[in-house]
Amino acid sequence: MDWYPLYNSLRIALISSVIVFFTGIFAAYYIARLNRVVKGILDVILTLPMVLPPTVVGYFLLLLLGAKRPVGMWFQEQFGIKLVMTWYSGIFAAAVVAFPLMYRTARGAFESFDETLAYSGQTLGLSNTYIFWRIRMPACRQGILAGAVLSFARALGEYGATSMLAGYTPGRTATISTTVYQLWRTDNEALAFQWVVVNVMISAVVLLTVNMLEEKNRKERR
Amino acid sequence: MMKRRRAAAVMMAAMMTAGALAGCQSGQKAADTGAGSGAQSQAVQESTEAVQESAGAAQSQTVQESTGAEQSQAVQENGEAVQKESVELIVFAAASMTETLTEIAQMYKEIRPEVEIIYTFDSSGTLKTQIQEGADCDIFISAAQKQMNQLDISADPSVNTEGLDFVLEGSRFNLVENKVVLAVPDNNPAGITSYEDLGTDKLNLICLGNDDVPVGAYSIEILTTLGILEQLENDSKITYGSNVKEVTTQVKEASVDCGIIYATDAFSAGLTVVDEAEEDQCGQVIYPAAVLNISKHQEEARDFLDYLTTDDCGAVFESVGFSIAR
Amino acid sequence: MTMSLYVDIEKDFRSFHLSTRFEAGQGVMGILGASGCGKSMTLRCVAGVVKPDRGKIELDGVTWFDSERGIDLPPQKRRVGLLFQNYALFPNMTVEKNLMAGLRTVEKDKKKARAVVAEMMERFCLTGLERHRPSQLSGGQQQRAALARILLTKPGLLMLDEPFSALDGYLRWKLEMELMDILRGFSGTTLFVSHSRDEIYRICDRVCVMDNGKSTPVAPVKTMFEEPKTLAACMLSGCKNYSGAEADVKKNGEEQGDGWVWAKDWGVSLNCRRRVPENITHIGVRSHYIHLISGDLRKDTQNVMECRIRRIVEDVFNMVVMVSSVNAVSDSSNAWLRLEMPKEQWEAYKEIASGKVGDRIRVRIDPQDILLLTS
Repeated sequence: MDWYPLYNSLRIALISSVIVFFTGIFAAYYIARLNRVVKGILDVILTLPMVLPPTVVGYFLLLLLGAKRPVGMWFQEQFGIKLVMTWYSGIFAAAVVAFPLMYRTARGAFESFDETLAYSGQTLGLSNTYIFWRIRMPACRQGILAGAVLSFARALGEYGATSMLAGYTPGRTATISTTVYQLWRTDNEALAFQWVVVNVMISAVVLLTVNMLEEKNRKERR
Repeated sequence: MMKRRRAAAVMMAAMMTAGALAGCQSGQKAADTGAGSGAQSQAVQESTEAVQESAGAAQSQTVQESTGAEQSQAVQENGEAVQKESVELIVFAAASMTETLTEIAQMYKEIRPEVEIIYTFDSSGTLKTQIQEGADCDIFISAAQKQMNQLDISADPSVNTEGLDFVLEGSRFNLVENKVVLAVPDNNPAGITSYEDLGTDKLNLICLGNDDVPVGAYSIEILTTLGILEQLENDSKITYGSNVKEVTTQVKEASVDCGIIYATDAFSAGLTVVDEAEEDQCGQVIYPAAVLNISKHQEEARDFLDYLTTDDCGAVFESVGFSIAR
Repeated sequence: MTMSLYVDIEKDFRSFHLSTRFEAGQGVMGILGASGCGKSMTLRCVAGVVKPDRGKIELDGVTWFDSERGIDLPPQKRRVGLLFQNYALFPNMTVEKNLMAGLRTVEKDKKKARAVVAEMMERFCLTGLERHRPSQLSGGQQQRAALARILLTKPGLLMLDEPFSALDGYLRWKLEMELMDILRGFSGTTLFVSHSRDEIYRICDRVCVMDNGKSTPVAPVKTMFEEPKTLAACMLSGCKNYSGAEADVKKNGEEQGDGWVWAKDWGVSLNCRRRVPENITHIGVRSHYIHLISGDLRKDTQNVMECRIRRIVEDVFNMVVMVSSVNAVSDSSNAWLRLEMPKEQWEAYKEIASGKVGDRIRVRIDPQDILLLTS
């Protein structure tokens, strides 16, 4: 069995998750501080990819990154890099659809954070960076962790936008989801089913890990 | 605070609706032209007899004979349109026929205003599966004999492996012929000039239909005949599209260096064709059409298929690059 | 140089407007106000964790905030100690780490820091709790730990935000004693915020009253309690009897001159034996200063009111008797007067007169006990 789709899917999901982890957290932190109007508008825009059908998201991304479109052409001219039909095109798709999950979960976690802890840290002379990483994040880690797992799972399972941006090139851009679809189309049911099993196993491992971490968390809090 | 939440929710709902509408592509309706103008025309339809032989390694051989010459005449009186009961004909047709059949439906509306044509355009493989799974359908026009054979009980059992019987006996005939061509994006950025060039380093990425898409099957045949298929697969230079329109879009967007599609698609999309496949490379590309025996409007269906063989329709087909199969 | 804090700030919120102005020197200054009046917000502005819209904050001549000159010193540089109601100990760190957190910037040597922390913990009777999490400490231990953490940073200004509101009973009393000892050892300025007038009275030297975002001028504690100037201050000081009032220049058609007020809600004119300013809007009388009249009156007794008994409540050590003036305009309980006296006194009264709800009763108020208030 050609294992490339597994390797590619995991690679894309991990990279997207890392990107989304940091961008989502920082967006949540800074946007919470803005005034209501701006905060409301940004909220809607940043949550859109979660509510839109993935194909609509894929379409928008293609409008930007396609080889004949503004951003795509600029990259081609400046760096000679193509943004679509490559393995890393899958990262754009996965990151965009997974971002809202991390963003909203982090927002929720930060908003339920007891701000007096941060104030207290400030009056004690601790820098804002120290307060963010050593006081705020540990206090919010349940929510942050949940967001990270959700976005990883979403990135791993991305199909619609990925298939539009990266196409299906076996050995290059194929992911588990696009491979299963194409195998089904060409009546390759046995192989398609094998991939389904692989995907279920990965998801099970991820969920088990999350449960273990949550258990550990709960014990520590008491 | 509540107002902002509500506004955001409304915006989100609007977005979702727009997305749903944008996402729903399948099921195109033929546009209605003003039938109330009392246009009069006389349509005389003649029976056709077609015997076809298809050659080529991947194609199965079938001999088709249409029996029962049909003649029907529809005459309309001056200033008085005969009111007939309105009928919906569901036509499943290969994606490459999108533009031509759509135009023809508009033309048909003028002579037979009570008949509404509802199209589903997709790859023939997908359509065949949908018919098999019980979709409502009156007429099937496939981009290759393979899919029609798979639904025809009188076809070779080695092709119709599941013994499906959907084709109405005597209604099947060959409609048009297409050519399989190599198309490139504007300005041909990779400088591809022929099928042979695909075996060189000039090629980085080519888009083909997958093998359940007729044009995909043809493409694979061509590349096998040229002896370069395995090399391309090993170098991961092939990306697969789900139907010929998707392949065409990839080429048009310059996401790939080139693609193998039909002459008609290249024409409709305004793409430059750099090479054409010969008969010995992939055989003839014949589009068979037939009425399905599950149709509830077999007479109207036959009438429409007959209409497709008229000169008016022939002109439409030829204008985009089809040739009439006779 | 004497330590002194100067605060003059304003901040606009949706529901109210904060406008605070006071000066505090050495010792403990209290900020007394009801919940939601802006006292905690004032502390946060002074600490620098919240930014006022306009104003000036200075400590010992160092400007911390000046909206005109665009100065806004970050809280990290102000060296304040702010004790929150919930103590704000970091839940994910041990007690020792919590206390060391404050020393991060001043003492880089970990060993030295540990030693200093250990000494402080001993002083605060927290030895043995180093590895504990804050959630494992009792309320009193948490407060001591939070205070220790603050004092380790050697702040120039100490601010306590309702430190006892989370406790009650004996523990509260014990901690109050401990806190007073600590405060006595602190050489800087302390701000003590509370809604309890008793705490303020016991712990603070001076007090500033806040009402609905506005502050009144600072006064010594005793003065505020004995001679509150505003209705809000008077209420906060625990007085429970009020009537809308105005200077009474006419009585029975004759010019009366200064010294009389017309109590609107009670329907009676009262003598204050001192000049009544034009702008008074209310009067107040403490329950203890409304006296029962039992037996006969002397002819020159001032400020006698005819009343009717409305309610009798037995408190732990006292009797509380609610009466209403027969001349009262409205029957609302807001216009009732509240008398408070030792139980024996009430018993003695009941032997001479009938002391049941509905019975007539006469009370009097000494002129100097009438508090003249503006609102």
